[in-house]
Amino acid sequence: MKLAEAARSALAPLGAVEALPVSKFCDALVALKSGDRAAAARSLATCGLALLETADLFAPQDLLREAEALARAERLNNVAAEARAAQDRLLRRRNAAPPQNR
Amino acid sequence: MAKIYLSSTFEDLKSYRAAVYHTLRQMRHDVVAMEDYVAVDQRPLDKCLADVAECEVYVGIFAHRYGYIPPKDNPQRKSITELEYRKASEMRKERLIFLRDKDSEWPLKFVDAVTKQGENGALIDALREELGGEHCRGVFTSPDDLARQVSVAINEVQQKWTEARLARQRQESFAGSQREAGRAGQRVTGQPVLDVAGQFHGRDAEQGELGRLLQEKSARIVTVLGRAGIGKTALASKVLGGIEQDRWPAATQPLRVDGVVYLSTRTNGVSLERLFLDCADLLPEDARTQLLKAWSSSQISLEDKAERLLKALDQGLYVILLDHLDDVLNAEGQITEPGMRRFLERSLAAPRGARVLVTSRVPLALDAATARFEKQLAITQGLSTDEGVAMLRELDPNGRFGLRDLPQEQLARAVERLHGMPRALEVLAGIKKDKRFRSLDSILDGFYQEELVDELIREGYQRLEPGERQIVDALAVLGRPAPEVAVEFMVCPFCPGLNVDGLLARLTDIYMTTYNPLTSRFSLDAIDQDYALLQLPRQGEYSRSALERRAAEYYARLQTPRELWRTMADVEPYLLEVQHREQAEDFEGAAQALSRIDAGFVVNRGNPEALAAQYARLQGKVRDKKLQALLAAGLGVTRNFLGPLEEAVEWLRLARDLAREVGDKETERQATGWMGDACRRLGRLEEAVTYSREAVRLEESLACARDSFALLLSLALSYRGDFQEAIECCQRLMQSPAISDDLDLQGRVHDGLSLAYLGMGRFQDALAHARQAAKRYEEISARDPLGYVRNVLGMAHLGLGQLPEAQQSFEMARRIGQEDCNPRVEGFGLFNLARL
Repeated sequence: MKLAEAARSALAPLGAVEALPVSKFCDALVALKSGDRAAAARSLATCGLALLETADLFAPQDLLREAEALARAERLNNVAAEARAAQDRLLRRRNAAPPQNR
Repeated sequence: MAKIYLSSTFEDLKSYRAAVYHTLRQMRHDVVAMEDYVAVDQRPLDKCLADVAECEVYVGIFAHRYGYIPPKDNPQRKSITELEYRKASEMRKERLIFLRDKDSEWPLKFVDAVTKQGENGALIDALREELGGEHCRGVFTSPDDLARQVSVAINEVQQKWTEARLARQRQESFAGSQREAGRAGQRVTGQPVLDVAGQFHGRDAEQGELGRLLQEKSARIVTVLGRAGIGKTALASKVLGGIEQDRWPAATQPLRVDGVVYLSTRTNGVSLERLFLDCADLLPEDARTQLLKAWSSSQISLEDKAERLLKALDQGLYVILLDHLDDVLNAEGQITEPGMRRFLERSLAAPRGARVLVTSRVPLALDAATARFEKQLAITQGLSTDEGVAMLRELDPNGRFGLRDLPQEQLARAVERLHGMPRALEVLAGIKKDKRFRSLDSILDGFYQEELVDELIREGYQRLEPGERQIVDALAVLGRPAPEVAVEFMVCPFCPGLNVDGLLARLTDIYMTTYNPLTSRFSLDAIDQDYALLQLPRQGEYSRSALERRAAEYYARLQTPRELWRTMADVEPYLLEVQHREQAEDFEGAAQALSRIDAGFVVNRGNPEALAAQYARLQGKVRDKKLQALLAAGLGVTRNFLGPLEEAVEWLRLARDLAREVGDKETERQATGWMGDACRRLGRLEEAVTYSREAVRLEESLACARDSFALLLSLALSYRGDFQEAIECCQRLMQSPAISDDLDLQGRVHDGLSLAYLGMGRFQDALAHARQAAKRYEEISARDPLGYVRNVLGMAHLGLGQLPEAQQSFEMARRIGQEDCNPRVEGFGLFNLARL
């Protein structure tokens, strides 16, 4: 949590594309801590989608998977579908070869 | 002034020699000629040759007589005139040869071939034949024609010398910049404004008070206030000079000061950038490096930079002089430069930090909350009578002006009439030198008594000879202490052949200019500078505008090529050229000069805000569309680093459109490529790819070897998820011939490849290329890209499930970002660590 908050402090003033996913990641962690799983699902899905727009932050497959699972559990069908679509998009982008280990 | 040897036969060329001699003397050159000792052909050979050896320029005038051949010590039986020429050649003197026109009429009695003087006819013909070569500067027909030709040739020689000295100065500046790149732990930095050692008079009470205020714990800023010419700068210089040596004014406890910084609007300028660079040199190497990194970070706000500077100075006691600060205050008394304004605001609010000493004619505007941390020392009175009398006597140490030995009451009367104003007393001493036998009262009676001090300052300038005035004008327009060669260059087109060193010596002698032997520079008192500038006509052949253009040309000559730049000192001549062209209202020239400044270099080492402001200032003043495009591109590039990114895109779009309109493909390429980069950072990836592709297409049509936007295209493609195309883009660059000996380019290609493979999930390939990139970046110490590539390495390890290695790489990226003040890299490292 501390690391994510520090990342948000560093990136937010720059106004660049990376600011949104980092901020949403922090929001998701706060929501999970407070037990607000619906908010966490929404934030993680937005974070994952925004991460598709940058190559300098690690790919969001795990985040999108978790967002989808949380959304399904909370019956947030739209969010779950969005997270699923983003995962598919991510896989389609890796069209050259399947991931080697992970 | 040049030392010129005038050589010729005598009897036949008497009137010609006289005309040349007279002209050269009028030009204030030191002419050595046989007339000085024995005006006959049979002159002493040893003396002649010794004189030739001592001169700088040899002027040889030849008609149809060979001249006297000394019988003794002359085994080759050559004439004195020929031997003089041979001596000048042997000693590689500047030789200017003038030959009498062989076709024009000439008295036959002065033609050796006719008078049959032994072999002299053949000898002079042979010599003339030889002299007609490279050193021959002209063929003359009359004394006036000869004098004119000699004068032109001497001016050309002087210009050549000036060029050579400018080249030397350029080298010295360059060497200075190299030294500056490795300075640390200095005790005094900046350019001391006045060398007052031994010349400062009295003001004991003010010195004591200033010392006390500088030690007062609640005082963050001490402002010395007073009218022009009253001696604010001298007082500050005197006190700081003592503090440098741990000598505080009487009545104050000695206190060890860790460093003193001198900044003045009349020397190197007052700006946050200057302050940063000079303060950094006061610190130990590590702290200096940290501070310079903070300064060069484009991602730290000016406020944060000011904060870091104060923090760096927090560990010791430092005094910073901001001299003539009123030059950069607006009508409300606020500092116009945003960086300096923020530094002072922060400085006032900080509990500890540097002490700032300001000299100004008007008070600083501070809000009520911070004003209590400012202490003012107002100098309303001039020197006391006794101090003024002592000063007048000291201004004439050898009694040459008739001042030293004047009765006390006469001197006291003059001091009282001038209200003890130090600059007025200096001017009076200068005038007295030329009017030795006039009493001080009678000199002062000649002026309008109500404004005696102002009148005297006016007289100090008006009474100068035209040449002297031009030198003062040159220094006034240069606006900062300048070496002799700068003055020489400035006055050359308006008054060719002016004896600049002699005149500077005289102006220094009469206290009009000051010479600092430590820096070899001449300067003017600010009050005289302001007066001289007001006297110059705004437009015309000899005008403020013409002199400003000349000053711009001077700084253009001092510029070193981009590949040799190391510090902002290398960019300074470019910025000064821009400033002077702007003053001359030559906005097109200013824009042209500005376009030669590499914005990327300034972004990394200097003050990009100031550069952006300069681009913005010229917007709308330039008619040439090509220049408009260059200005817009410059502004866009600086905004791409500083933000806001949307603004960067708009300026770059304007630059691209203008460049297209005028067919400037290179500017179009640059603007389009950077527009792609700004869009990538904004996450507008479709546009990023389109613009980057367009830039690469232009690149191919222009056959550019460097600054390839192909790599930025590959980044944009990877961001968008088109990894295969990103890889192809890098592979094309890999095959370029330029890459073999370019480690930076190799690093960037591997960098691009690693990011693309990472996106494809080919983590082993990503790891291999990231390692290659890191290796190359380390070899060339490219810290900024190394931070990014360490982050990519971490992601590749993470993709391969190698968590400890991933953590290590992200930590390294974070540390590089933090140390180099690059929050983007720091943020990437932190976020990816959080994902572990």
